[in-house]
Amino acid sequence: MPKLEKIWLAIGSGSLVLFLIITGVMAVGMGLNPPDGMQTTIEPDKVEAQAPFDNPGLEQIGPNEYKATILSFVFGYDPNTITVPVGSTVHFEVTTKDVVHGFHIPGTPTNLMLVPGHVAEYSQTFHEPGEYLFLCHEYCGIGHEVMYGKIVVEDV
Amino acid sequence: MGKQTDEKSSAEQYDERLKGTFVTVIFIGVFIMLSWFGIFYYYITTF
Amino acid sequence: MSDIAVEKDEHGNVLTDFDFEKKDANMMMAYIWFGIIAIFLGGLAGLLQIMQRSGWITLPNWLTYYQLLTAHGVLLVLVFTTFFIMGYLFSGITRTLDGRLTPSVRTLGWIGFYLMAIGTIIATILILANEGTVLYTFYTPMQASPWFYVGLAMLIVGSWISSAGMFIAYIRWRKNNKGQPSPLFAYMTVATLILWIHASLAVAVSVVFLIIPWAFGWVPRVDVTLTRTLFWYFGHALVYFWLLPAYIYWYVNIPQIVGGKIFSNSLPRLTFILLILFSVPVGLHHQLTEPGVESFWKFLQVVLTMMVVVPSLITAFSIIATFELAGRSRGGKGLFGWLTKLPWKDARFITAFVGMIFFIPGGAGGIINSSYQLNQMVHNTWFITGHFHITVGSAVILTFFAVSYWLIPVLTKRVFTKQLNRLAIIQTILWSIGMILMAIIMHFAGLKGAPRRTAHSTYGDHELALSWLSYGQVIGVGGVILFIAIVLLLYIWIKLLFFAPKSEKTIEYPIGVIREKAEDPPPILERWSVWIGVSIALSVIAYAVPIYQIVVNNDPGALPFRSW
Repeated sequence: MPKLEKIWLAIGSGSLVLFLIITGVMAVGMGLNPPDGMQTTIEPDKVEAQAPFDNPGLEQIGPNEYKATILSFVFGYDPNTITVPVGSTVHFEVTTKDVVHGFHIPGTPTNLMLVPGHVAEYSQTFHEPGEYLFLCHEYCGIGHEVMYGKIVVEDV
Repeated sequence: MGKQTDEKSSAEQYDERLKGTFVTVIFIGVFIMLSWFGIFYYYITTF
Repeated sequence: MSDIAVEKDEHGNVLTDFDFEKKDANMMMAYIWFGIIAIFLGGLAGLLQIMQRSGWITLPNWLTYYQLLTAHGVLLVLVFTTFFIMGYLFSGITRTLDGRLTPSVRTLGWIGFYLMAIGTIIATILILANEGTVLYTFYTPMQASPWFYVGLAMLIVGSWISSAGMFIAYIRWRKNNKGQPSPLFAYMTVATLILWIHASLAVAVSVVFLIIPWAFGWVPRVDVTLTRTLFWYFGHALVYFWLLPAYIYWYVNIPQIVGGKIFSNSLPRLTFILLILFSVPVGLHHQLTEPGVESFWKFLQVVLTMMVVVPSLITAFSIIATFELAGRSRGGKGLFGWLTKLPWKDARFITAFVGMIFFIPGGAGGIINSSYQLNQMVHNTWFITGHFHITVGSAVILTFFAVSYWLIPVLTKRVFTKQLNRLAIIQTILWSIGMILMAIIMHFAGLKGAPRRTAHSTYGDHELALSWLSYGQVIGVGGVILFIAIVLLLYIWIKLLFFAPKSEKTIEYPIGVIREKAEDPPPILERWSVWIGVSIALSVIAYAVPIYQIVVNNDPGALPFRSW
């Protein structure tokens, strides 16, 4: 192998290692992981019969801290509008009662897949006031493109 | 001359002729780095 | 010099002209033909779809956006690619091994072809009948007609039978040429097919044992996460199954076209081994944002994903080095003078070269997609759609177009005339403009949050969604230009199939010659059992626990839905 190629491979592999170190430090050191959630539900078609998805909605759990329990279905969310004051951290727990859906707040890392039988969890802090769109970003059927809601972050 | 040394000297000789390749791949590497850090910056400004 | 018998013309240039036997050529042509039909129908679906999404047309009520999207995905990335790849690999196997196929191999080729063709026709009819509107990823619990899945299963099983034919040809050659390294093309074909079979076994298990019984109603529920995970076990390797044949062209055929030589006989083989090892145990990076899989395992597969970048780094250097050495041997001076000595007016070269250029942002985007947290910024947005339109939709497919410009002539014995060559270059330019306007802009729209796989929508006139629509206008123009490029391509192909003048001479099937001083590859590289073993071991390490957890923390299973 020519020497220049070895140098190139060292630089290239080094960059990849750098990317891994950065993502790894954020994951392990700062607890920044993509959405997960190992909690499963009862049969997705019966999920409304049991807590917490029998009573979806927004609940204040601390100063500036909220839990948003959201149920998705073809083709919408319950609730589909959430209002919180600016600076709030919202802990989302979201599931679906039918097919696979998505829950994405564009412009934020809140980007969840909603898989039947599982609860997707993620926390997002809203630093700026405004009307945030959230939408389904996984094809779920003929009305997929009208499946959305909004988060109103109020200036206080 | 054995095949081994032949291979070696030809590799050295090729280095001289592969400068353009090296510069090109470094450009590619820089492009990848810039793209990655661009998106990384976007990510850290949103959470 | 085991690779090919070297003949030279009066100027000392190596000749690699070739004639296939009629029966072999017919079989390969069948694959190419089917691919041509698929690309036209798939492209048409793409055109209508992007025009709907941009808000330019309203579709009739018997044809929905999502039907078009399903047809576009299935016909282009499952059907076109698989057929074209099988035809191309068969041709190279024949060309570099014995020059002809044995009747049994040819028969396997035909059986594979017919199974794939029938499967495709079944699936396509069901998509048109709106019975299979589940996109090419067919995520459960949306449930298509069971026959849609049967059709897809036939496509996969057919490809295994074609692969078996090529394996037999390869094993036969090895037996008759003991102790010799196999020709590079054949070696790479075997590697590609091993990868394909390993990966597609997972999706076949999912389709045959989980989805089909559920789609026929024999079992009431399906484990959604398990089917998704098995799909992506297959799904990422699938993209490498598209890429590897393009790499074969770059490594083996192009050196001959640019008048260079293959630098090393070992490094390309090592590259392909690395690709076999690391293409599969990385599928979870498509599922980073979903519940049911622990973060640790997601991150482990992110690490393995970075490993699969390394062979592409090697490839970048090797290919450019081939060009530089070729250019310098033709008198190119200075740092970049060699560039001027490349055959820019040869469509067989420039089409693939433009594909290589697209692969640079493609590779950068791929690293971003799989970089764990960064995936949250792009997952299921138009960024992803843009990404695979510049990778498979440009780098790979432009390379396949370049292949077609000499492979069809070799098979039909018609001349790729100067005029057709000029049209092919125009086609490449149109394709590039179309993809820059469509796929590159999609990256930016996706970063602003525009979702993929979504029909025209203003999301209640939300300001952000309206900004996506303005990107959509440019993207739509790109889509229209791409369709014009497909029409032009079809014109070139039809000319090559029926109307171009018959050639008096044999036509060049370009196969690069390995540099005389290159050492023979170490035999370990051809001990496939070792590499298959390591590949399976890596996949077990990456997948055993996540799949175990999915099965044991069994989610309750989902009933079928037909939501379209």
